Amino acid sequence: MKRSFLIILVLSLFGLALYAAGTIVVWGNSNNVFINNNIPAGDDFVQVAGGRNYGIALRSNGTLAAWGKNTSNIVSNTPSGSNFIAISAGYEHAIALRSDGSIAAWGKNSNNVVSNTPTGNNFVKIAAGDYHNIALKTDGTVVAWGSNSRNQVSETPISETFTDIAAGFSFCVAVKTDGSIAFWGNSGGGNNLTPVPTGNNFVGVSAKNIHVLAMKNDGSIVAWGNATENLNVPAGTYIQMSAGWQGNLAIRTDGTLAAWANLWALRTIPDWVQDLDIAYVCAGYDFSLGITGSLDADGDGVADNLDAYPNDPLRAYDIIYPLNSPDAWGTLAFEDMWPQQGDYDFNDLVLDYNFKLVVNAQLKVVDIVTDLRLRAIGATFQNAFAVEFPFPASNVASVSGTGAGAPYQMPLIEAGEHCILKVISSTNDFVNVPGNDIFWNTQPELPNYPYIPISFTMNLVQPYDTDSSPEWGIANPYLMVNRVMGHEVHLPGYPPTMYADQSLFGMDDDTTDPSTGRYYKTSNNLPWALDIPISWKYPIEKKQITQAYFAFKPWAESGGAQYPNWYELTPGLHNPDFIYNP
Amino acid sequence: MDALTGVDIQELNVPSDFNYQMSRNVSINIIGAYRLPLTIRTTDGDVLLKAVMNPEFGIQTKLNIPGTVQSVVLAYQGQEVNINISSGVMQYDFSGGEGGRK
Repeated sequence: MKRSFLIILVLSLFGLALYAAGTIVVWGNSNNVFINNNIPAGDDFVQVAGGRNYGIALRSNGTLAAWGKNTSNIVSNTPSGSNFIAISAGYEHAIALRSDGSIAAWGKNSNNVVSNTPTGNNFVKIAAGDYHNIALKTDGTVVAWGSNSRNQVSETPISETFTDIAAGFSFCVAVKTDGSIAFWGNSGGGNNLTPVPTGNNFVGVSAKNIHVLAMKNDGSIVAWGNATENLNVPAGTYIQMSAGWQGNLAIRTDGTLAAWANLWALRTIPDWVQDLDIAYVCAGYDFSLGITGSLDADGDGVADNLDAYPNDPLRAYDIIYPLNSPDAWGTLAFEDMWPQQGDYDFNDLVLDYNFKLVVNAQLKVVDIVTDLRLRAIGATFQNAFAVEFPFPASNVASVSGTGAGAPYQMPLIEAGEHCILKVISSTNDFVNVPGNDIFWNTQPELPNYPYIPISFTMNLVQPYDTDSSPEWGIANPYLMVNRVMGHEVHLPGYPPTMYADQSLFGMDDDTTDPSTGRYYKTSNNLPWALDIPISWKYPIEKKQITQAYFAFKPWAESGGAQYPNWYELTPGLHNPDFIYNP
Repeated sequence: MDALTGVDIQELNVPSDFNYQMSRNVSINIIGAYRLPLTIRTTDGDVLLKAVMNPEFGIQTKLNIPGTVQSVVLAYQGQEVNINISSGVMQYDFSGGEGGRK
């Protein structure tokens, strides 16, 4: 359950608009340029209301904002001041309640609906109809003013007391202190506005046009009036409701929204709105309004429903590679003969990875959480595997590692402004590869073994801004040939660490030249390592990648333009006999 | 077009500046006036990032995005825009760009 609605439920008992503050959202009528443009910005709104092509909103600091079509200066004449506590929108006029109990009115003055606003400081609730208004006093009595076209003003039962009020096109409706419904106005009219529902279990009313919504003390809503779709309240229990001219909105006790409407466009709540934590709704003339809930338990500015760490102000989101999925894996595949060319089966070391950046509300990295799957060792060397990060070791608060289900020591090495985590000190820590042409998980004629899980978590002292990361990003993975520090094999184009043995650059088949930014490629531009965005089916022992995957050639020769999915097992584009796929 | 077959890797004629990258770092700079969620997703629907807009600073970061993704969909405040990211930059101003509301 979205807890923000508990706040509303409790505070609404006081009849005040003390909702969690948030941002205004508008939906339902994308063609209404008046209401969809210039929506007031900010995340401190507590109430919103809408009439014919305009909206008004109340900020938590007691000031008002308005937008939309400026008919009768409904927008430009919005009163100033910082002591407003409630608002209500009529067709083309609006009213607002101040904290001192007085009422302000502005907009179109039909039937003196603005100019006849009662004075005094004894009001606690207000409701605007199309051309008339009603207000609830501190003593529970009510007063109405404006259009009396159907006696909606003159028939006001001035001696009775009420707890909630609403006004429609030409009528008023209220909840009596005994929990029953009172209705007046609409004289001579039909539209099924009377008789009203009986019973003494009503706690709130909302009305517009020629229909009424009434909420019972069990959270259910009943509707009556003109027999249209506006009466088709979805079953359920609710904590807030709003009747509009063309449609209606309500918030269920589980925090989800309900909409029912005459206007087809208002019957659907778009996904992007459903995804929000809406804390307050108001049905405008032909549009829908809401205010996002800002329940933010850790105060990091990310609402709890969007916060992966709602009780941790230092953490907000997970960004996961590849493809932002905890279930997705990429593959690092190495050849380990550098600076000599190898057999190009890219299975000397095969590691799947799921690389998660835990970031704060400003998207700066707080933790790095990585899961690896050691899948193949087609090597005689006992290699090591490490990752360089673009921040100093002094910025690492802690590192913890596991391998094969047990704690595994992963040394953190200072590297100037960078640091290096030796993730696998030796593949022999996990697998004893016999050698002599017997390898691990690369020969289909030999038994296949489950992958070995390896993971590490790195916590940072100061959050790291990826915006300032080097060209290679936030991780520079590499293989240490036969565990020799400095004998590094990186992805092509990735620079060596400061510990790389530069005497090896340009030796044998390598053409690495740091002065030109060329790294880890042969003279005919072949690599020693690949980073593939899926859990890749690598070639079997001694079979070149180009013999296993036919599209690798045109992909590489086209500079990546052709066959970008060359690594998939596309029918006709691979040789299944040359791919390790037990 | 001839059917592709297996070849010796030494037959390849690879451009000297090709680095075999199957993903790329994309600089992101998205501006919006409202503290509402921004979703960046591929045209196939894979969500790359979902974060709350900072009305003061926008959303600025880098994302590593698969090379097969040439354009992404930005969803914010009920609007959706398609952005080409082949340049390595993802930039949009929801308050002033096409379809902006402010």
